[in-house]
Amino acid sequence: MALLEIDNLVASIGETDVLRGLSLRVDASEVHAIMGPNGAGKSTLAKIIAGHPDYTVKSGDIRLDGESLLEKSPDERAAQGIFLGFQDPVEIPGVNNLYFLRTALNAQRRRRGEAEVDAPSFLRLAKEEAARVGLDAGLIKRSLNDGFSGGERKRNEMLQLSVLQPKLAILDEIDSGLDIDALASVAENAGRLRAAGMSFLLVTHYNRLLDAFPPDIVHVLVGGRIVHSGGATLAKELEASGYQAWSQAEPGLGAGSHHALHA
Amino acid sequence: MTPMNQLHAQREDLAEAPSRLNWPSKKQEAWRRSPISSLKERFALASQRESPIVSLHEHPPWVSEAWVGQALQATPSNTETPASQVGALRLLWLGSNPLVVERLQGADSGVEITRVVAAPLASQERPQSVTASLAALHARERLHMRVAPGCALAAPVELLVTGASAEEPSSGTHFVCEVGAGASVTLVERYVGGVAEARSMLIEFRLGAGAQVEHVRESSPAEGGYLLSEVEVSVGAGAVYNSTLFAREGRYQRHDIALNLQGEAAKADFASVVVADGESQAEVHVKLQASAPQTHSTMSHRTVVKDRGDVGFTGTVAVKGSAPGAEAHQSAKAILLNEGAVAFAKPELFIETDEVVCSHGASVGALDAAARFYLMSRGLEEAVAEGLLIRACLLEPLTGRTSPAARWLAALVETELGGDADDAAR
Amino acid sequence: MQTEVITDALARAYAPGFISDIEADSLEPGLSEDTVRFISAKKGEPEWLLAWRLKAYRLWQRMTPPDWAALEIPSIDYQSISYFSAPRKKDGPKSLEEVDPELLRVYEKLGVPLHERARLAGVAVDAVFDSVSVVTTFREQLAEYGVVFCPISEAVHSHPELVQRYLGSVVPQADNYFAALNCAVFSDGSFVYIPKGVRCPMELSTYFRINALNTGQFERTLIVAEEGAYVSYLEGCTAPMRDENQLHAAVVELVAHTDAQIKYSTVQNWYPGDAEGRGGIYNFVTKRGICAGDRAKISWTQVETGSAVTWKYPSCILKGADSVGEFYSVAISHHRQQADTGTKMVHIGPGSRSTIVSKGISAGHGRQTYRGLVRMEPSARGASNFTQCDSLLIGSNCAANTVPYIESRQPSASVGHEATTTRIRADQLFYLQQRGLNTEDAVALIVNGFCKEVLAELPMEFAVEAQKLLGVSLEGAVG
Repeated sequence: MALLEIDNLVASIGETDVLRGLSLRVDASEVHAIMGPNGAGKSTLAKIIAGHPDYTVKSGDIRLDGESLLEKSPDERAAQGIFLGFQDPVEIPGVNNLYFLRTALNAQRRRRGEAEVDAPSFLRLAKEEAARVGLDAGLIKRSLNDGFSGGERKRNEMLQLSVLQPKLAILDEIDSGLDIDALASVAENAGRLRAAGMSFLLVTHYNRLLDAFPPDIVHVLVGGRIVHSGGATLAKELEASGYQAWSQAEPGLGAGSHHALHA
Repeated sequence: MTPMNQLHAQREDLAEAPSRLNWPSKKQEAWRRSPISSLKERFALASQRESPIVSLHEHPPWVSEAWVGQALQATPSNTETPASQVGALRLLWLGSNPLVVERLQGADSGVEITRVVAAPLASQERPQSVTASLAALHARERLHMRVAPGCALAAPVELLVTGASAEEPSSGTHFVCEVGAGASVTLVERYVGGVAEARSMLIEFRLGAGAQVEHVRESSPAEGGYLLSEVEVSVGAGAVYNSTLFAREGRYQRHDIALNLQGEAAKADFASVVVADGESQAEVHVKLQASAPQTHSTMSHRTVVKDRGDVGFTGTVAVKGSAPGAEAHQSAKAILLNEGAVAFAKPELFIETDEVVCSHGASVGALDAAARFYLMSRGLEEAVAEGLLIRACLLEPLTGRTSPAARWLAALVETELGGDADDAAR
Repeated sequence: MQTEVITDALARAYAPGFISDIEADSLEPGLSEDTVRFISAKKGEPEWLLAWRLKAYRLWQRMTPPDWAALEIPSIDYQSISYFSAPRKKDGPKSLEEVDPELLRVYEKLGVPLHERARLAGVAVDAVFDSVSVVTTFREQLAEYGVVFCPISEAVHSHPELVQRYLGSVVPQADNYFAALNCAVFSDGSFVYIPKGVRCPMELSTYFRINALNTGQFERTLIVAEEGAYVSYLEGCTAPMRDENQLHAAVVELVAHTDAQIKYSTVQNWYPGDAEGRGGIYNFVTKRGICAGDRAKISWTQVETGSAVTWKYPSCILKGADSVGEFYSVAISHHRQQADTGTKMVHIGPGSRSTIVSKGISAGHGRQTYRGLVRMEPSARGASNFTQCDSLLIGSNCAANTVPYIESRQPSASVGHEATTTRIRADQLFYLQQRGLNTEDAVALIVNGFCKEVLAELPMEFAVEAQKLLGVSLEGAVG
């Protein structure tokens, strides 16, 4: 049983279908990258896995550890082990960054029937992880993402990832707005978490992140389907050739080739 | 009974009308700067005259040619209006009588002007404010201007209002402008009081879908003059109403402006600039109501008060439950230059739906001391520095306005402040 | 710890809504000069106070209820209200041991620390039940410092000169309709006197509880801080759930002399009525303080989550030079609740300063109005004010109004007002849910963040209670 299994997922927003029969499997400790042209549905896929209320799943299934997520609320999915690193994390004025993180951690732990983390242990953990992701000590005391630069927000997402320790981290364009040093730090932390058993689904446009944090499998998402999957070298090919080859792809090709890869 | 006689009869009937109007109580006027009911006497109807109705192209008999000429030349050259520069339509209102003074080629097509001489009060179907009732009552005729759908009037229409003579101590103006779908027009409204009179004005705008109106207003009552002015605007879907008011002088002036954003994505920008000195009192009350989705509005008020001047502002933004997606911004700033000067501000928000972006800010105080020091440390004399800051404050809401009419008004403000009008006009 | 606070807050119902079975002496409903005389006689008041009450009553008869607030209130039948209800007892309790144990259990349920816990918390408590003050703790300890903290009915006898001098000196009898009514029929309340140079060694606190049916509560609080004195005073309010509306018309007067400081905090959780708007307290309160001396400071902090209707404007008259007035407010209107609340800052003294921070939250069909006056008198040279006024809307049926009045007659005085209107955005909720918070927790977190500046002004014990209340008050507001 794979960690994440998506079967033939069809999803829509309003009247528009945004995923049209998408299938995907991610095993423990695997790193998958989703690439594709603008508007292909990459960020949409990330939000649908996390349970964003704007989208309706019309058919198909998403399972984590064999259990369907479709009827679950976003917070239940989070407690089960889904983490979405947002492309544009929202600002929430007045809500202290660390206080929020501890509230979230303990809410998840409570739901899982685990003991809550007390304040001193949490503070130690948070400071340690903040240092790892290179977040300034002053920033972690501020309001949630309030007045953070783009890079600081992304580092803050990484801090939350390291503290919350999900099974699957979906990182949506985590590399945008990051300078070289920050990118290296993100890759290093992701590598460490992966070694400890975390799986990753990276949504990205560029190879910058993939060079530093090589994926096991690269998927090409076009028109709401995965049309092609391959190894890490696929990302390089895509950079050179673009997505033209798949823009007229036959239905079913993606799912077929993908299953073949996992067979 | 001929229609004319009928009208005479009605006017006889209305001789006592101002005192019978529904004047607001002292309580209703609680926060206004000058209780309007104390002005009752001043706004009494002028004594009955012969032949109150005149043809559109004739002067009333008690107004001499010379007087018209004088009124037209009364404006100093540096306040030449856009209309006089580019030669558009000019409507002159002497006392309570409308006349079309210049009707220019090119402006004819698509513009229709009618006089409505029906009894002013009989036509009222809805309850009106005292200002509106007074204006409708005093005005001997109502001018009704229609701009045909799709007609884009390149040159501004000028509405020049002035007191007729000391024999007519109170007078009224009633002007209705209907702008058809997709049409655009600039109206330059000037009230330049010729005599100390009590004037009431009612101006109504109805903007069809996608219409655009630029409404530029100068309000300068004569020394000792009183003005009660009301503007009612309804803005249709996708239509845009921009308005700038510059008020100064006179003993007392009150401007009530109702902006109704009735169509989806309707837009209104309102700015008022008020300079009060001597014993002048001025108040501006703007009430904006958004009742359709996705509307946008800004409201700015700037004032500089000196001597024993007294300026009040109420800006009300009401977003109804039927107006999700509204964006409304409001700002009010008042600068008091000396002790004895008074400023009141009441920027209100009434929000009935959660899908809004609304903000307002208000400040009242002296000139910014830090800014003044900064300018002086760069070598400016104190008076120059202060002048610069006052100008910056007053002209701030006008900086985004690029139309010739708005630039003209900005130049007028500059002149009032003793600055170089050319700078602002550029 | 704060997580627990919010979680606890999600207990579903209006927790203080129980009705206590306590024997009470109640006056038959009705209001006349005889009612006023009865109350005065019951308290054994001196002649001057009876005369004062009667004058107020006669003034009240000629007045009309204020109608300018953005509130819809059915007309109130003042003859159907009982103007006096007291828990039955022989004589006033001399100590806690003599207090009706059932009454103590009521306060226990409310979490009011009357016993040992009070000592641990370092809070002296005056508890007002319906119309009378039932117990005041820590009086001996306070007396050592010369601090007087007692029921006002007692102060009339023990400190007549102080009461006579200050009663009505800040809120005169004819100030407004509800204040006049209070002057005529007030039954009890707290009296605090801090002598010159004394810093009150503990927080003083009054818990108000309306219990009896058809009873109005008209308490009167008077706090006087002499030169250089300091006091922090807390006020908490609850009432049982009843289908009928109940009237609460209180008056609070604060007097701060030269260099004195008074900090007055309120957590108002009167019964708000049910989701359909049945029942609930009508809360018509006049609170005003005067900074009589130079550099005096008065700070109002309020968390208003209860009451069906709130009409309340805690104000400061800044008479002393360089005196300071502050107003920090959080007000919630959920379901059918209505609140018209704000402040008045009247600047008279040169260099006087004031700060207003108001956070209004509307949910359901709630209606919320901030109404505030800032006035700079000609004498207020160099005075300044800053006002921040934010509204948070939850749902499309609620309303938020902001009505500031700014009046300046002094050019060197500066007044600044800023206001924003926002809502809880779907992306904020989703973000928090994605991190594992359920909807209610997420809303509570955002609301607490929105109110942070005001909650920070509350004394610690109250801040925790206030945070809980915010969560509870907004249950079911989203989703």
